[in-house]
Amino acid sequence: MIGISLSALLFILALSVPVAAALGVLTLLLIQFGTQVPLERMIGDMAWTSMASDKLVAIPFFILMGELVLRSGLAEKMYAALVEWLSWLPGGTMHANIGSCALFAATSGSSVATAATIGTVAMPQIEKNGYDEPLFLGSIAAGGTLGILIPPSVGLIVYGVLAEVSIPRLYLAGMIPGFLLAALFSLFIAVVCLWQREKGGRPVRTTWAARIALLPALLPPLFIFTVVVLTIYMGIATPTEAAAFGVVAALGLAAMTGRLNLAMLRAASEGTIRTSAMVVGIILAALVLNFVLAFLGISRQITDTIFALDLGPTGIMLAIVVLYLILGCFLEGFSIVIITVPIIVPLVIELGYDPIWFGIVLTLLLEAALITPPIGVNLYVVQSVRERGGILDVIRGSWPFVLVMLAMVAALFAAPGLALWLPEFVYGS
Amino acid sequence: MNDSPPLSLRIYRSAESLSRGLAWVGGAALIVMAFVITAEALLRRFGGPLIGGVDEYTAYVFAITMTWGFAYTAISRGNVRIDFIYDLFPPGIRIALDVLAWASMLFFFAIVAYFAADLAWSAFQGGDRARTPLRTLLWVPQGLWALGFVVLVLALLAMGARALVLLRRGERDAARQIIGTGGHGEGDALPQGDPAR
Repeated sequence: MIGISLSALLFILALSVPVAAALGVLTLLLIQFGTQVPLERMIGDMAWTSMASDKLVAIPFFILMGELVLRSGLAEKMYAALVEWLSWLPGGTMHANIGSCALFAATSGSSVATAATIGTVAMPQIEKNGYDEPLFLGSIAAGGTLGILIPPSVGLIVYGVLAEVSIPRLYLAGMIPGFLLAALFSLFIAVVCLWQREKGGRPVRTTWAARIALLPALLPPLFIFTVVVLTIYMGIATPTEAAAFGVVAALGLAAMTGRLNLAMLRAASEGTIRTSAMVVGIILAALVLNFVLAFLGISRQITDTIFALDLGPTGIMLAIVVLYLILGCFLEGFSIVIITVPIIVPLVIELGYDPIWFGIVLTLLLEAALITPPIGVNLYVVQSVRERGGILDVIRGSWPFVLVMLAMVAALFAAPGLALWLPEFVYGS
Repeated sequence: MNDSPPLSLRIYRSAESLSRGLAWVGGAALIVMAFVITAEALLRRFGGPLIGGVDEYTAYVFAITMTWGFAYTAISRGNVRIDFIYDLFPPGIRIALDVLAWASMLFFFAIVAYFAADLAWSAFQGGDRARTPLRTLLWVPQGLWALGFVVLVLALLAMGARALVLLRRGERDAARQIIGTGGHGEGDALPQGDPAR
């Protein structure tokens, strides 16, 4: 049953059937052939219960926030400021790419939005300063993945809802690994550019006066981060309320730039609805599928099969990491989380690992999935804003960053405190 | 059929405008909801009068805006399709896969639409109320929510009809513009002609 279901799913997906429809068709097949119980009568109920949720609303809120920040031109100004501040390092504006991805990630929940936004504003720098093109593109594709690790994060919300763990704790757990990973990316770029000087381009000349003049451009993203993340820990807001604050704050900031008008709001609405309805369509289909899998006892069978392998906790965890890396080559991140979390997380807890910690490990593996070919969403996003050359340049520049991410995963295994210390410090264990 | 292409185009364009309009309504609803939630949270924090029931309404607004958005995602080809095998095939097979993708969407969401409408209808007949202090009549949010699935099915039918007419005229590329693979991944967050570009 497991084998057939999984092969059927992969086959349907490989035929390029939309992910939501693929999950849905599998669900209907399982209902039709897996049981005598007329489960289909429950579809209406299951769909309503999955969607009438006041937690998932944070997803469209974050996407809307990112759209507003992008369309009001705040991201461009922030990038210009970080170019002044960070480009003295070996590798020049590539550090601004990483830095502005990290900062934009702190105002947006999505990796794609992060890579697309920073990619668009950064691209002219390649020729202006003569950087090694693959490395530069890799820094954007990889930097963009920080969007789902650094809070607020759509990925962590989906994980929190599915794994039934606290979203504020997940946010705190993502903070240190997120900024540490950004630092590791920068370190990697600096090392490469010290070693092969031709990759680092021409040094960018700047003055302290220019730096200080551009400093205010960093305030809007920091303000949004404060409003969306810190209000949760000040006890003012739930994650959903904080996301709503973020939308209001982004609207206010957009109004201050003078770019807020009806046309802009319509465009932002279209972008927001298009992306979030797609994500929510997949979530809906996956939640209905999970219900049916649990009803048919398939979820339990999968867990039992894995335990029967007798690999020991560490062996199983390694197998899980490898499984996600493989899935990540072929599936897109959201689909992976939604399909696997309800099955894998109970297993991880049974093995004695902390589900909060696992959420961060999983998010790192999903970041790797975003830049591993053939299905690496960020690779395509970066290529599409670049509008020339081939996708191979992006892949060549991105894969070393996968190794940096894996180093971070290894660090989390060696020192779980990297993720768990901050939530325990704030909330007690 | 062959002498009525304008009809399929007119239907397609109406479906497109309708779904775009619903997306705007959805965006507006999210913005209003953001302000209401913000107001309630601040009032609660600073001891003002409570609005009450905001959680419940947030859940309804979310469910409804998302199903109302499904049609726009479908018609703007924003649904994620895993296309690395698809890209390896010649155009003739690709268009067959496009039709399969379209048919799977229609099949699954038509069934969901049927049972969603059924749920709302029985809630209406039974006069069901939410088990919350507001005692909301459930058929109202559920009916609006189910309507989104129905519009999605209609939009898919309009897409299919238009694509079929184009295919019969041998305009495969034009048909791919309707039901082919769209942008990559999470629905391209950065459409062309963006003011920030």
